[in-house]
Amino acid sequence: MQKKTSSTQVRRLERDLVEPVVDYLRGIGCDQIVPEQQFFDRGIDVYGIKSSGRRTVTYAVELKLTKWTRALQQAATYQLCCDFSYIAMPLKRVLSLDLSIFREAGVGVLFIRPDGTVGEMLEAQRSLETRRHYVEAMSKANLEDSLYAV
Amino acid sequence: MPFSEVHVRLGSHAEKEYLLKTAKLFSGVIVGANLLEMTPGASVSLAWKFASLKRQFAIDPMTYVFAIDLDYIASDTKDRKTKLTVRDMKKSFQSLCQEFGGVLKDEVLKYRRSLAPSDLRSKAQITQLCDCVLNYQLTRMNSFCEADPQLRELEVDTIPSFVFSPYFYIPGDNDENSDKWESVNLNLIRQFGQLTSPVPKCAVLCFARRILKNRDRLLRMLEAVMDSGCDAAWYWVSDFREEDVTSSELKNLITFVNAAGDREFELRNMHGGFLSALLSKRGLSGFSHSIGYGESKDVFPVSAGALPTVNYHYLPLHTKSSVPDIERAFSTLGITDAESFHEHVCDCSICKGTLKGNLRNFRKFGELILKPNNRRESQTPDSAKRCRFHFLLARKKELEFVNSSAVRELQTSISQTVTEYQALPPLLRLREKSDALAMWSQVL
Repeated sequence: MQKKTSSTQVRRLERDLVEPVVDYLRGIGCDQIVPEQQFFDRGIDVYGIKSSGRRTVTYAVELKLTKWTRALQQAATYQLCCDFSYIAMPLKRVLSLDLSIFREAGVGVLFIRPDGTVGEMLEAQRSLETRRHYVEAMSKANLEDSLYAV
Repeated sequence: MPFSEVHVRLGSHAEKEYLLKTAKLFSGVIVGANLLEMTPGASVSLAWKFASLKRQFAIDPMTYVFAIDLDYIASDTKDRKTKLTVRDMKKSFQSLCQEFGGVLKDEVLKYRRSLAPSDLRSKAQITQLCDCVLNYQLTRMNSFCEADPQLRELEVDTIPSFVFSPYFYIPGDNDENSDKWESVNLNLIRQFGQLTSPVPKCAVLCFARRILKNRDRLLRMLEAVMDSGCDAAWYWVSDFREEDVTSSELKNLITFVNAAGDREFELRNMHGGFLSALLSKRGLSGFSHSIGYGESKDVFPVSAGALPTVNYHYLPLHTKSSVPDIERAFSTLGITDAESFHEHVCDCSICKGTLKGNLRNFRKFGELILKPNNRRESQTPDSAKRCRFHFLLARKKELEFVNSSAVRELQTSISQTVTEYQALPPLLRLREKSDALAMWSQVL
C-alpha cells in the first residue's frame, strides 16, 4: 500500500527542488537569488534578480510537488512583486498540466528532471500586475542579504 | 424584523482602546473571569464606562479551562531568590479556583489535576458550583470596589448585565467521555436555571464540531437547555470556522437555530462572524467575537498567549483575506484607484485614512516587521491597529446591512456578489473565498 506523504515530508521534498531552480536562475543571468523570500505573509520559494544596466529584472518561482492550483494562485500573487513568475514541479507532474490556464495567467512553468536539471515548459509573460514599489523594496532587501549572490 | 447584535470579547486590556472608541457600535462587552482576576481595576473601570454608555457588560466564568490540560493555563515564573524557573497554573486561574471553591479548590487547585466528569456527579457538587459561579459574577466586581477606594468612588453598577452558567467542553462521540460531559453540562444548566438572579441567566453549551453533524443530539441538548429555566443560551462550537462549514453542518445548524426561534428562546453564538449574522433571519439573537479575531475558537489553544495576526476583513465577501490576495484581484475587479476601492470594497474612515487617496497605500494593512530573534517577519503594530479598527467598523456595517434588509434583499445582494466573484479566474484566491458566502446564503 502506498504511504501518505506528511506535510513535513512534502516540505522537505519541495526543498530538494530549490537547488536545481537556483542553478537555473543563475544560468539565465540572475546575480542574486534568495530562497524563502518573504512577501507579506507568504514565502516565495526562490526569488531571483537579474541586474541588466540600470534596470533589474526579477523572477519568482513557486515550487510544488503536486498541488498545481495552489501553485498557480501563489505564482499569480507573486506577479505583484516580480517581472516574471513561474511554478516549478517535477517533470512527471508537469506533463499532466493543462498549460492553457497558466498561459492565460501569464505564469511560466518549469520542470525538474530526475537528474536535477531544469527545463522550461512554458515561458512566463512579463507581469502586468507588477507594483514597482514591491519590486524595489525586495531588491533592496536582497542586496543586503542575498544568500546566493554571485 | 429579526435583529442581530454583537458583544465584543476583550482578549486583554491592551485592546481597550479599540473597545472604548467603538463601544457605541455594539451591544456590550464580555470579559473573561481570568482577566477580571488579573486586572480588577481596569476591568471594573471598563464595566463602569460601558454602563455609562448604556452598553452591556458580562463576565465569562471560563470554567471549561479546568477540565482540559492544565498546562494550557500555566506559565513559567522565575523565583527571584532561587533563580529557578517554575511552571505552574497562572495566578489568575488559581484565584478563580479559590473563588469557585468546591471541586475546583479541592481537586484542581490542591492537586493540580483537571476535572473529570466523575468529579461533578453528585447533586451537591453541581449545586455548589452553580451557586459559586453565579455568586462570583454577581459580587466579584463589588468586592474589588469595596477593597479599592478609587474604584469605590466610581460608584460602578457592579452587577453584570447577564450571567453565564458554569460550563465544560463536550467532546465528540469519538471520545468515551462525550456523553458524560453532556450529562454534567446539562445538570449544571438545569441547576443554574433554578437559581434566583437579578439579571438574565444564560446557559452555555460548548461542544465539539463533530456534534454539529448529529442533528438529534443537538436538538436534544437544546431542548434540555430551553426547559432549564435559563433565560437564554450561548453555544460555542469548538474550532469551527464558519468559512469551512459543510452543507450538512449548516443544515443542522439552521435546524438548531430554528428550534430556538420556534420557542422564541434567545440563542447566541459565542464565537461567530457573518454566518451568525445571517442566522439572525432564522432566530439567532446575536454572537460575539474578539477584536479582529475570535470568530472561531478552539477550546484547546494552539499557541497560548501568542499575539494573533489580524488580516484585512474583506467586506464584499465578509471574510478575512491577506493583502496580496486582495491586491492581486484589483485589476480584474476594476479597482484602479482609491475612489473605486472605496466604492467596491470599503469606505470606512480607517480605509479612507489609510489609503489617503492612493491605492498603493492599501499595502499598509499588511505591513510586516522583522522583530529581534525572529526568523520571519510579523505584523507591525500599526498594521494590526488598522486591521482591527477596520474590522470593527466593517462588522458594524455588516450588522446594519443584515438588520435592515429583508431576506429577499439579502438573497439578491449576496447572490450578485457570489456571481461576480465566482466569475473571477481560478488563479485569484478571492474566487475561492467566495465559496463560503455561497454556502452561507443557504441560510436565507
